[in-house]
Amino acid sequence: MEKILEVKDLKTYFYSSGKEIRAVDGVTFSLNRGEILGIVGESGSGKSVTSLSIMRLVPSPPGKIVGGEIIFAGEDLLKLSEKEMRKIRGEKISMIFQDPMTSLNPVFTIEEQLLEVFRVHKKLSKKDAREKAIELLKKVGIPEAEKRLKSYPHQFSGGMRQRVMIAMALALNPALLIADEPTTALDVTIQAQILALMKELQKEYGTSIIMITHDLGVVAEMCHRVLVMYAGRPVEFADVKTLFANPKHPYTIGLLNSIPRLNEQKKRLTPIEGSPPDLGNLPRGCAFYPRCSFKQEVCSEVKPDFRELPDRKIACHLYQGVLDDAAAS
Amino acid sequence: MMQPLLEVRNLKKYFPVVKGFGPFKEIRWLKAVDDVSFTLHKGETLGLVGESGCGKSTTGRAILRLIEPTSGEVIFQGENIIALSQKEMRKKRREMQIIFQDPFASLDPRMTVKEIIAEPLRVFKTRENIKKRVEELIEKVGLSRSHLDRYPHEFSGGQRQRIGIARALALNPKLIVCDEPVSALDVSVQAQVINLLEDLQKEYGLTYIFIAHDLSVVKHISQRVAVMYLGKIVELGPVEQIFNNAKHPYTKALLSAIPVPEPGAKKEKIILEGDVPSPINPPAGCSFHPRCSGKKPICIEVMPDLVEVEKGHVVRCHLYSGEVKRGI
Repeated sequence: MEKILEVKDLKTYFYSSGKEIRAVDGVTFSLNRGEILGIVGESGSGKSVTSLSIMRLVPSPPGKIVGGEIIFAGEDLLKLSEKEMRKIRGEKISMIFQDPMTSLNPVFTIEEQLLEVFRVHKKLSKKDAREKAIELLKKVGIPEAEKRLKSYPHQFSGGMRQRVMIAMALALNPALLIADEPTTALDVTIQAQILALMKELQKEYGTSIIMITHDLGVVAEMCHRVLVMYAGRPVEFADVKTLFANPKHPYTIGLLNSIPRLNEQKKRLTPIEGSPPDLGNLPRGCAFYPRCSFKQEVCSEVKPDFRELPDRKIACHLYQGVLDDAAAS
Repeated sequence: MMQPLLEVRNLKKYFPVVKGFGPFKEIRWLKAVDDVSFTLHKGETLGLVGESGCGKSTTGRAILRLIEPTSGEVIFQGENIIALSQKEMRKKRREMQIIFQDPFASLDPRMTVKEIIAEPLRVFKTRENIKKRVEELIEKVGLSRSHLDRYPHEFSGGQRQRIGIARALALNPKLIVCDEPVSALDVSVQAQVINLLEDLQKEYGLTYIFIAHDLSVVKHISQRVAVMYLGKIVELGPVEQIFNNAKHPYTKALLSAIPVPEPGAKKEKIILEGDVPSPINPPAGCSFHPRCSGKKPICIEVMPDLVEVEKGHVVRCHLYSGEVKRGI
C-alpha cells in the first residue's frame, strides 16, 4: 500500500525555566493512503504535540522540533520553509480541533471564515467561493446552508460548529486530515452523528485521517490501525483488531482492562495504579515502569526500543529478548 | 417498607431569561429542572444521565439547595429540607455533600491539603481532634500523611479528586452527590477513583447520586438509573432494565450511540437527527418528539406522563401510556 505519511523518530522538546521537557521523544509511525490511524494516550502522552509537529504548528519558543523526519508525499516537511509549509496546510493537510468554539473566530460570520479558505488558496471570486461554501455546508449536513452562512459561531450548537470545522478542513480536499479529539467536547448522540459524517466523507474523498483520542470506543469504531503513546514515546503500534484482541504492552493491557464495559457483568475495575508521569521528571528507564505490573530490573535502567514483531511494533523489554539474554549470561 | 433516605417530589428549577427592558421587558423561563421526582434508599446509587443541558447537574445542586429550587419538596430523612431556614440548612449539609467534576477548580489553590480537608470540620466546630481526623481521612482516600502540607497544584487530577472526596467525607455524610466525578480524569485513573467511591460506599453505607454522561461508568456504579431529557426524567429503572430493556426511544438512541471498544462489533446505531432543543422554548407535547422516529400525532400535542412498565421501571412515552396502545 502507498504510504502517504511517514514519521521517523520525531522529537519535539519544550524549554521552559531552564528545563527540557521531552513532549515527543522518538515517535515513529506510518500512514497509508485512505487509512484511519488512531493515536491514543492520556494527557501528557504527546499525542497532540505529535499532530502539531506534523502541521509545524508547535509554538516556538518554547517548543522546538529537535529531530526526526516527517515525510509527506515524498517530501520532508521539516525541511520546508514557512512559506512552502503554508501551501501544505489546508490544501494538503488540514486539522480539526477538540473545541469548535475556540477554533472558530467569534467576530466573523461563518461565511467570512469559509470563503477565506477558497479566496486565499484557490483565488476564487467571491461568488464562486460562496457557491462552494454552500455546497460544503450541505455536504456536512447543515440545514438551510444559505441562511446559516450569515450566522456567527456562537449561534451554532457544539455539534454544528464541529460540522463547520469539518467543512472548512475538507474544503480543499486535503490528502490528510488530522482530527485532534474531534468529538470529546460533544454529547454522545452528537458524537455518533459526527463520527458517522467523518466516516462517510472519508469514504467519499479517500482522505487519510489521523484520529487523536483518549476514547478507546471511538478508536475501535473508526480506526484501521492504532498507535498507543505514553509519556511522549510510542509503546505499541498495531492493527486495531490485533491490538484490542491481543494487547501485548502492559500499558495497553492496563488501559483496556481499566474501562468499564457495557456488555459485562459488574465486577471490580482493574485500574492502572499510580499517576500518569510527570514529563519534567521521567524515570531513567521505561517511563511506564513505576506503574507496570510486569516490571523487571532492566526496566528501571534502560529505555526499551520500539521494535518490530511479526504483527506489531512494541516498546517493552518483555518482548525484546533483553531479558532472555540476561538470563542466558 | 423502609423509609427512603431521600425523596424528591416535583422538584422544579426555572431560571428567568430576561429580554429587553422597561415596558418591552419580557421574561421567559428556562426550565432546567421540570418536575423531577424520585426516591433513594440508604446505601443505594442512583445514576443520573443525559446530555449537556438536560438538567442533571442542576437537579443535583437543587437537592442540596446549592441552587434554590423554584418549587417542589426534598424530603431527607423524613424532613422537607426546602422548608428549612438558611441556618438550619447549613447544619443539614453536613449530612449531604457534593463532589465536583473539575478537581482543578474545586480546590482553593492557596490552601494546603490539610486546610482544605479540615475546613468543614472547623465550620461545624466538631470537638473531635481535627488533626487526627484529617490524617485518618487522607489515608482513607489512598494518599499519605506526607501529602498534607502540600498545595493542590502539586497533585495530579486523580489525586486532587481524592482530596475532594476526603473533604466531602469529613463530616460523615449520608448522601453524596457526585457531579461527573471522573469525567476530567484520564482513563487509567478513572477506574481508581470509581473503585475508591465503591469501597467508601461499602464501608460507610453511603448513598450516592451519581451524575455522569459516560453511560459505561454509570452502568458500572449504579443500582438504578434515571435518564433525563430537557429537564424531565424520561425513564427510570433498575440498571439492568435500563441497559438491557430500554423503552424510551431517547434512552435507546443514547445507548446505541456509545462507541464500543470492540473493533468490528456489529451494532445497530440509532443516529438521532438534529440537536437537543433549547430548554427556554421546549417543543410542545413530548419534548423529544422532533427527534423521535416513532412519534405519533399525540406526541406533538400532549406531554406524556411517567407510566410504570415493569416493577420500578417508569417511562415517559406515549408508546407505553395506553392512549397509543388503544389506538387513539
